[in-house]
Amino acid sequence: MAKYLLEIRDLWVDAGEKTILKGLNISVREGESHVIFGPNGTGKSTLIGAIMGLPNIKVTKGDILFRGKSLLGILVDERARKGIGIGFQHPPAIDGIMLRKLLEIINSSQAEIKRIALALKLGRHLERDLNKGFSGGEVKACEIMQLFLQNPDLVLLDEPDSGVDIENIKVISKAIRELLQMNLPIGKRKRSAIIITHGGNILNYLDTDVGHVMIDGKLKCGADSREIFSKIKKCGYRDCYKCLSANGEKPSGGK
Amino acid sequence: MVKSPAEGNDMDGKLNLVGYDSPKTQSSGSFLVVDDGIAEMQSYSDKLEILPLAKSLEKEQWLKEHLGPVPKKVLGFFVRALPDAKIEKPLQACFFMKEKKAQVIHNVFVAEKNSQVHLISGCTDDLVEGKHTGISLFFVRENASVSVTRIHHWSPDASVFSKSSVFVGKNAVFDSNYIVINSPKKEQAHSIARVDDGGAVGFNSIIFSRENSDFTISDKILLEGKNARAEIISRAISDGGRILTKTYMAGKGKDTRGHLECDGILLNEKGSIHAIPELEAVNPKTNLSHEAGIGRISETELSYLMARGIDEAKAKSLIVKGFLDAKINRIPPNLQKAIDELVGKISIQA
Ligand SMILES: Nc1ncnc2c1ncn2[C@@H]1O[C@H](COP(=O)(O)OP(=O)(O)OP(=O)(O)O)[C@@H](O)[C@H]1O
Ligand SMILES: [Mg+2]
Repeated sequence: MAKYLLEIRDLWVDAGEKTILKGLNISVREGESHVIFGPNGTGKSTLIGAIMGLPNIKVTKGDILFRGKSLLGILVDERARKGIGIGFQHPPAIDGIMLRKLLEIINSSQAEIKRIALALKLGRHLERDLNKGFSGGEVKACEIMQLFLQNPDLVLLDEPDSGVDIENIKVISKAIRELLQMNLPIGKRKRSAIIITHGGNILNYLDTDVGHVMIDGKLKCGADSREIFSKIKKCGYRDCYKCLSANGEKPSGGK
Repeated sequence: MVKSPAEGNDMDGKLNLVGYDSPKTQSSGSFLVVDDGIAEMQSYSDKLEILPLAKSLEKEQWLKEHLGPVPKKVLGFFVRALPDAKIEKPLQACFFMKEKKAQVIHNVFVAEKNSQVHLISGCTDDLVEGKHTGISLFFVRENASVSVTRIHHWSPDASVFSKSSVFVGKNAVFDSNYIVINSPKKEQAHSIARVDDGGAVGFNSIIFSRENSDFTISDKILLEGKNARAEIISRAISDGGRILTKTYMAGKGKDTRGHLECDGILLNEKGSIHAIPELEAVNPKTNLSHEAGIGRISETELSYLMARGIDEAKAKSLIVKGFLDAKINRIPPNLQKAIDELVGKISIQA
């Protein structure tokens, strides 16, 4: 059995003044992609922010281990350099920073920048200010583009599909598939991911390992994310959460 | 006072920082004052007259009323671009305080009808507690166009007072870029422009104020003639210093238009930025507007960049550089070096 790349045990997190995560567990092995579902405001983005080390998110109890070592107390940029990458739910636009310039800082290969920009239909955005005036879908594509160039081992995707039209979901999914090496058989993949989504459409294009449901700052998981999604559609988040049992880890008996 | 090698006694290096370059082949003329004497004065264009002001005052009696009382051995230049002259290379001027603790400069710059001319003017010092006073007059005659780039780079304990008066003639253009890389203990920089029919003025300034520095910049533009236009863009960065930006525009003539924008970033808790934008419409057919925004570096923007593996210092300098680049997109290439220098300092200190 492969070792855990990410291991979160009994995590309690405050965002602002509020306790959001209340004893959450999740473990991700090398090559696995996990999907998290959950109603608005349950703490999905907070979880991803805690893994990345974003400001205003405070771990009060528990631990986050990456390759077996605690991430607590390590700054955002160092976590990124250790191999964690994030696609933000709401990326900011920044005045005066040209997208191309940022990409060149992330990755010096002009050829790679060009290839990915074209694949994500952002070729004409490179000379614009970062996210400035980008459409909802373009902002999401831009996040994936940056992740591609950053080349992380653990990819955290916070709603990569929200605001993306049904045709561009295919474009983005194709890029995510390549990023997560989903064209390789499951045991051969190296890169891991946590993907947050409200829409099921993207799951039709991706080949994920396991799905979780988050309620009240805790996670429960089941075998197949598409299955969970159709259950949620039928009986809602809370009932679906009730009938899941395993706690945080990909059920080993399933496959 | 102990000096780091970068701030050493290397005069050429100092002059270089404020845009005074050698070789001079890149310029149309040069004018260098060291302490209380003219060290270099040369015109490389037959369309450009450069004289010591003291000498030209006898001939140019009309200047008396503008200048007011001046010392007998008045120090500074009298520059005139002849009618129709199109002078592409900039005139470079520099005022350097090396040993004497006080320097008083009077400069007069005349761009005659239909001429086009650029000036780069630097001020810097290499001493303790210097006092610099600079009084400048610009006459931009009908249909002429002048751009002025001023770069200041002071020791921390210097005090500086400057005043520029600009007369912009019919259909003439005056553009000023003012950048302060190292702010002194105290600086007051006043500019006032009067604009005639169809004339246009742009005042851009970038002030970087370090700890224990008290900086006041005051820009006034009077749109007197019909169709006169103006724009003031001020960017203030406080790295512990106090900055007061006073900007004022008055629409007196018919169909005048003006816009002013002052933005500021506070890099830490020690400093402050106080922006006072003022508009006054005297003529009902004037159109004036302003925007102002002051804040810290956005934590969201900072952590976004850091999440890509960029360290905090570099991320901050990217944001500040973006803040400067965003609007002042007419930055002349010679200013770019000064801006890079400024941004470089931020990344060291972050
Ligand atoms: N800095 C903060 N200050 C105060 N409250 C915060 C802060 N950050 C998050 N919260 C609150 O924490 C809760 C969880 O937010 P989070 O963004 O993690 O939800 P989410 O599950 O990602 O929701 P969505 O599906 O809408 O994106 C919300 O109620 C939110 O308002
Ligand atoms: Mg969210």
